[in-house]
Amino acid sequence: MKDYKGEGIVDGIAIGHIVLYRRPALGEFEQPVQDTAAELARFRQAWQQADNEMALRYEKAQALFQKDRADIFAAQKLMLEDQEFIGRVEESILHDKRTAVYAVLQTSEFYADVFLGMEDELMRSKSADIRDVSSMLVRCLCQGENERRTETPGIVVADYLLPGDLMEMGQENLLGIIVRHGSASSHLAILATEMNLPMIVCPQLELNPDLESRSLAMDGGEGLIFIDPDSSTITLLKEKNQELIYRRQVLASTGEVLSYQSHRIELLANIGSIEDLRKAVANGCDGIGLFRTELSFLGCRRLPREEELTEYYRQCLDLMPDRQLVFRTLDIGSDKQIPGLSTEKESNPALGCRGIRFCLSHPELFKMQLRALLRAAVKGRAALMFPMITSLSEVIRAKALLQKAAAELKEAGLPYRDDLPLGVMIETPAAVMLADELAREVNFMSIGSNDLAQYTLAADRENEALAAEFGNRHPAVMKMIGLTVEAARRQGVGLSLCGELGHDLEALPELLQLGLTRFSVSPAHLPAVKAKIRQICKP
Amino acid sequence: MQTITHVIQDSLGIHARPAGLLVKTAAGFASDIRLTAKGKTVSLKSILGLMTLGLKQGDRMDITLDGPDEAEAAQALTAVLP
Repeated sequence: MKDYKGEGIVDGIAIGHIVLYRRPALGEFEQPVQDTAAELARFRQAWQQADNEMALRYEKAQALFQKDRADIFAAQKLMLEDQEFIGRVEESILHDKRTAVYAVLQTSEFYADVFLGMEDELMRSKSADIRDVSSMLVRCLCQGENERRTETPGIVVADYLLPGDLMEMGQENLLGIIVRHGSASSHLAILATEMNLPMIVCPQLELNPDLESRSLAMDGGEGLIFIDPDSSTITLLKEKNQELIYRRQVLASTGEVLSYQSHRIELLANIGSIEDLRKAVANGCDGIGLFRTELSFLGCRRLPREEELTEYYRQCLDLMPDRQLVFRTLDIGSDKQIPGLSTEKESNPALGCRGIRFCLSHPELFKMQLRALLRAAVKGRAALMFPMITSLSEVIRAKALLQKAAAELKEAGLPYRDDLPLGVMIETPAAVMLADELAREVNFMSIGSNDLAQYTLAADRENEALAAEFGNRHPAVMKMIGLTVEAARRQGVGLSLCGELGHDLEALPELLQLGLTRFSVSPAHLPAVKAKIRQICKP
Repeated sequence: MQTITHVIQDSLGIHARPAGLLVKTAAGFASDIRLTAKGKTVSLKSILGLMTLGLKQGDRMDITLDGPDEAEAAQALTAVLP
């Protein structure tokens, strides 16, 4: 047995034989052609066939995937039909006496190189699209010579794979995917997730021809690859697979309404990026209870621009048009660096200028984010939530800035929404004490249990030595939650809980008992929490 | 022949969506429509050509239109300039 550790991209277990994916290399088609007219006719015929197949592929993708995934193939069809692309290929055949396959590969590599040289990640990803278009053409030109059909389904191992390759091989022939080059944000990864195909990226794996048909086991969650696995490894992975299948079955029951003492229970997701949002959609949830928006501001060289944020938020709302998406406004403190902003060093960032305090002391930056949110919210069901509230005046000042942001958009003549539901985070003891007053200013509240526990118990949540004794389920924290539930009820506003307590399976019965009905947890925890709530609700 | 000179306003430059819109608009007319920017000239009816220019905010582009419906095409394109 030989094993490799790569990057796990799509969770899941696969055990089967290896199918090596061989891509035609430019060198194999180098010999010049004599009859250029015949070669040109051959290209045109293949192009016609490719154009038809691309239309079919788009139709098939529409049936298989959500709309924005299928659009990948609509965009590829436009590239195939591009006059400049066709012109270059034909010129290469006619003037350089190239074979049609060579001309297509050379032309697509020309465009792929241009795209790969661009700064913008989105533009770089177009290189995969043009390669996919050329793959389709080459396939039509070779008429089955490069077909990789297998008798029984297998695990495909390739240098890289394109969305079209997946469609061509067909879901029924695939057990898993291992590529040497790829990423979690690639189109391939997105489609593999939807097809439930475990996927690993492993650059160390050499594509030796002797791998063909050997047996392989993979764990897509951990990124583990075993070639010629021994029986104990197979047994272990099979057991793990049973567990995963059980979870998927629980997931498959989306649309099922859970209720506890005749209150509808809603299961929401906490996310930090559009990738998380995709996972949340795949794992089935009733909405997004917490979108941590700071990620767009951290780890980049410059501040994001309003247009970029608007577009990003729009894309997120497009992914979940029918369910609510709660954007928590920028929540950072002096322990995180934002490009272009010098923050004062603080001896105790957890008790420093963070959350809403930071936003109120940087009104221009805050308003920029608010404008982007208001503009994006024209479509979808967005809500806004302010973090780290400790006083009523903070809420009033934040609302005033929100109104200002709306007024600026109005003046600029840009479309926006100004009737979004507003909420506050309850994550400090002060906010619990003022919950009634705060609730009168907003439409909903959300308990941030991690910070609420840390500030209530005066125990640093990063301090592992304290974790055992001052865990989330401390009676003082539970009492704080109970007080907040009562205040929310008195004032008639919605209440949710986001934080690790929400996926603490042993805490769930008590939280339900306290009267909480909305839980927001990370996408990975959705299945287990759902299974537990189901078990509690239907004893 | 008609010409349009434009400086790109969109802070994201010419990315896929506005490029698609420009090309779709241009393709609807019979006139020959070309775009020159950064010393290169491409057909405005080609999405690949346009995208490979990698145009950004502040870049200047010159569009030349030549053909029977050049006036209408110029008007339609002006409405979708990024």
